[in-house]
Amino acid sequence: MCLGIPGKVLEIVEAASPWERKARVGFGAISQEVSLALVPELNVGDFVVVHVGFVLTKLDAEAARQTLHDLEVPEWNS
Amino acid sequence: MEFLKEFRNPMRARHLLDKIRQTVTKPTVLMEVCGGQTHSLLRYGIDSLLPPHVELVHGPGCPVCVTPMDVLDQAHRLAYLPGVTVFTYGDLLRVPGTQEDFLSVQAKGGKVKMAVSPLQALEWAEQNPDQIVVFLAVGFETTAPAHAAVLARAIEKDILNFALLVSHVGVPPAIEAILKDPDNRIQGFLAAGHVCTVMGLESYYPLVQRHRVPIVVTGFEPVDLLQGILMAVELLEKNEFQVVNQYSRCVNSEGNPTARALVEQVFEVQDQAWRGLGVLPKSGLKIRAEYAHWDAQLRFKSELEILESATGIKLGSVQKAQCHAGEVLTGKLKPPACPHFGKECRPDSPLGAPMVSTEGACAAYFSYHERSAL
Amino acid sequence: MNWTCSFPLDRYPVITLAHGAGGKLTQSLLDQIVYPAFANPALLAKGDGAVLDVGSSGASRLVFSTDGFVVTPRKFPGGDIGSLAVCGTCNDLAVSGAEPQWITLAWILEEGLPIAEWVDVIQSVRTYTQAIGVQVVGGDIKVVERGKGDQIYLTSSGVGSVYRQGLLGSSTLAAGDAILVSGDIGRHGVAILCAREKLAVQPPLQSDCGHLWPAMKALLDAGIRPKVARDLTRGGLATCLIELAEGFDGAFDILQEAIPVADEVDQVCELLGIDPLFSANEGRMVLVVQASDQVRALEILREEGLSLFAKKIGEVVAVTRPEERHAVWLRNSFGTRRRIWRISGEQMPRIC
Repeated sequence: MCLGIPGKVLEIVEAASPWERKARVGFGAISQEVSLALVPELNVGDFVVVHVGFVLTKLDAEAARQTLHDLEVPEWNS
Repeated sequence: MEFLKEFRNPMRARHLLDKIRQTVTKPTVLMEVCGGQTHSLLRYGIDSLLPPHVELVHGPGCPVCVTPMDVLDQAHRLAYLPGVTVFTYGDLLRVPGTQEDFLSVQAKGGKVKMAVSPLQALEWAEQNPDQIVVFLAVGFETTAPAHAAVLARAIEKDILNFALLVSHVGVPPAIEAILKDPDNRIQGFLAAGHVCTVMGLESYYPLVQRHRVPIVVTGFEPVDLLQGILMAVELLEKNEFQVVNQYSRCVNSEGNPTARALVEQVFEVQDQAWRGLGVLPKSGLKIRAEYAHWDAQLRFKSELEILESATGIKLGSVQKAQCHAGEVLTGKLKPPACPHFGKECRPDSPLGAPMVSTEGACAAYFSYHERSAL
Repeated sequence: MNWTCSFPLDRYPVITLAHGAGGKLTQSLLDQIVYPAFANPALLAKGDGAVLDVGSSGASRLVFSTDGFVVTPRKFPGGDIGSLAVCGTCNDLAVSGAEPQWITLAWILEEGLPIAEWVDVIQSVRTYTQAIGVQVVGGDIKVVERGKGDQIYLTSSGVGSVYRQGLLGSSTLAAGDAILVSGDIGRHGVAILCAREKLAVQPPLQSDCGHLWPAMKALLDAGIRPKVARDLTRGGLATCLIELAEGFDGAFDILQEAIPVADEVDQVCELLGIDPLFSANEGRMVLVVQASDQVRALEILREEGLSLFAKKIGEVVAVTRPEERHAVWLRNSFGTRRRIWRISGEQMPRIC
C-alpha cells in the first residue's frame, strides 16, 4: 500500500486547470512529472514523497535532518 | 537518493539494535500493519537481527493479501466482457481468484492492462472512447486519495467510459479486530507511515485508550523500522501506552486535509470484507450512491450475475482451504508451525502465502536468516 | 476462517505472458516438455550455447545457439530488435567461449509494415555485426497477415568455434572461486519497462544492449580461462546465478552491496518497487574465475570499453548441509543473508 519515494521538486508545471498542475520531481539521476492534486501548495526546492503518480506529502527536510542527527552514532565524531 | 539511503545506513541500524538490546527486559510481541514495512523488514532481515525477547509479527497490511476473493473474481470476469478493459496495479496481476488470475484471463482473451498510476487508466479511457475502463481500485488510506482524485476528475469531466471497482480498507479497524481477539498476543503496533501522512494520528488515540497498547507511526526504511521498534519497546518497558510519531519527516498529527476532502467527496465508509479477517465494521469505502455510474459493481451488476449463473460458480467461493495464511497474517501462527510448511508448501510449489513477491512472509522463513558479524 | 491465498499459480492450461519471462514458468516448459522430448548431452548441458564436437576425434569444437526476439517497443533507447538479436546470439556464443563467426536471421514480418522501418532494423544489424566481424550468412523472410504478428519477429541463430581452449567448465567450480559481473546490471529491463509503459522518466533510460565477445576474447587472449560464464538476459542477474548454481553442488555467496547498479536504474527501480537483480540485461555477463585470476580478470575487463564497472560480487562456497546445495545467498551489510529463488514470471511494478 505504501510504496512512496522521496524526491525534490525541480519545477512546477503550471496549467490552466488545477487538475492539470504537475510537479517535476527529481530523484537524483532521474526525474518525473507527478500530479499536484493531493498537495497543491508546493515550491521548487521542497522535498516530497511520491505515490502512484501523485505527490503524497511534503517531506520536512529539517525534521529528517533532526532524526538523522539524533541517530548519529557517538563514535562517528571521534 | 536523498532522505532514503541515509535511513538504510548499517551503522545507524546497529546503534539502534544495541539500544533495543539494552532496553528490552521481557518478551515483547509487536506487529506492523503495512505491506511495505513487511517487505522492508524481510528484505533486510530485521527480525533475525532483533534480540530474542522481541518478536515481530507481520500483520494484514498488504492489499494483495486482504482483497476479498469476490472482488478479484469480479475483476477477472469483467475483463472478458466485450467493450471492457480492466486496469490493475502490478501487485494484483498474479493473485489467484477462485478460478484463475489476470495473467490467465489475458491469455484467454480478456482485456487487462497494468497501471502504475490511476492517472494512466483515466487517460487511456479518454483516448479510447469505445472501451469502458474498469480500474481495480485497491489499497489502504494511502492510495484512496489518488483514486478519489481520479474519480472526481472523471465525474467533473463527464468521462462516462470509466468506472472503479473498489476494494479499499483502513488500518485502524484491522488493529481493533486483532486487539479484540481473545487469543491476541500483540502488545504494540507499528502503524503505517504513509497511511498517516493522509489520516494523521487522530484515529489511533481511541485504540490506545481502549486497549492500552503503544502505537508508533513508523517509516519504511530499516533505520525507521528499528527506531520505531525501539520506541515501542521503550514504552512497553515503562508500561506506558501512547501514540508516538517516528516518521516525523512525513507525518504530522493532522494529516492531509485536501486528500481527505477528496476522499469524502466521492466515497463513503462501509463495512468491508477482508480476506482472512472476515467483515470488519466501517473498515472500507464505497462510491457514493449519486456516482453509481462510475461504480463498476453497480454498473455491471446484471452482467456479473449472468456470468455467475452461467458458470455455476459463485463469485468468491473458495475451492481449496488448505492454506493457513489467515492465522499467519493475524499473528496466531508462525509459518514454520503450519502443517504444510516445507512439505506441500514450498517457494517453488506454494499452496499460499500472504504476499506475491520474492519476500512473502512464509517464503521468507524458507530463506534461513543467519546472523554474522557486521 | 476459510480462505485461500495469494501466491502465483504455477499451473496454467494455456501459454501466458509469464511463460516467456525466463522465470519458473519458462523453466517448467523446458523441464516438463522440452528436455524430455529432445534429451541429448549437448542440450542437457543447459549452456547458453550448445558445445558440439565436430570431426571424428572432436578435432574442433563449435558452439551453436539460437534466440527469438519479439521485443515491444521495437525501437527503444539504446537499441532495437536488430541490435538485440545480433548481440543476444553473439553473446550466447561468447560466454560459451566461442568466437561468433556466422549468424542467420529468420524474419517474420507483418503485412503493412513500412519497408523503410524494416530497412532501419537491417541497418542496425549491419552495424552490430560489423562491430565484431560476424557474418550474416543466411536467413529467411516470411510474412503474416495484418494482425497476426507484432510487426517484426526475428529469430537469429549463430555458430562460432571455441576460441583457444574456451572455458574450463562447471565441473571445475570450487570453493573460493571468484564470481564477477562485467558491468552494472538491470538496465535493459527498466529501459524497456519505461519505454513500454510510457513512464516518461527524464532522461530516458538506455538499454545496455552490447557485445560481450571483445571482453571474453581479451580474457582468453590473456590466458585467463573462466570456469563458467553466462549471458545475463531476462530474469536478471538473480535468475542467472540461480541457473548457474543448479549445475553445481556447492553454493554461491553474493554481497548485495558489491553488485553494481547505476544510479538511474536504482532510482527507477525504487519508484516502481522492482528489484534490479531480477531486471533484464542484454550486454552483461557473469563469470566465475579461480581466485588467483580475479585481479587480472577485472583489470582486463575494465580495459575493455563495455566493462568499466566490472566487479567481483561474491564467491563460490562449499556447503555443509545437503539442502544448501545450489543455493544462491545474498548477504547484506546488515549482517543478514537470504536465499534467493526464481520468481514465477516477470517482475511487475508494485504499489505495496
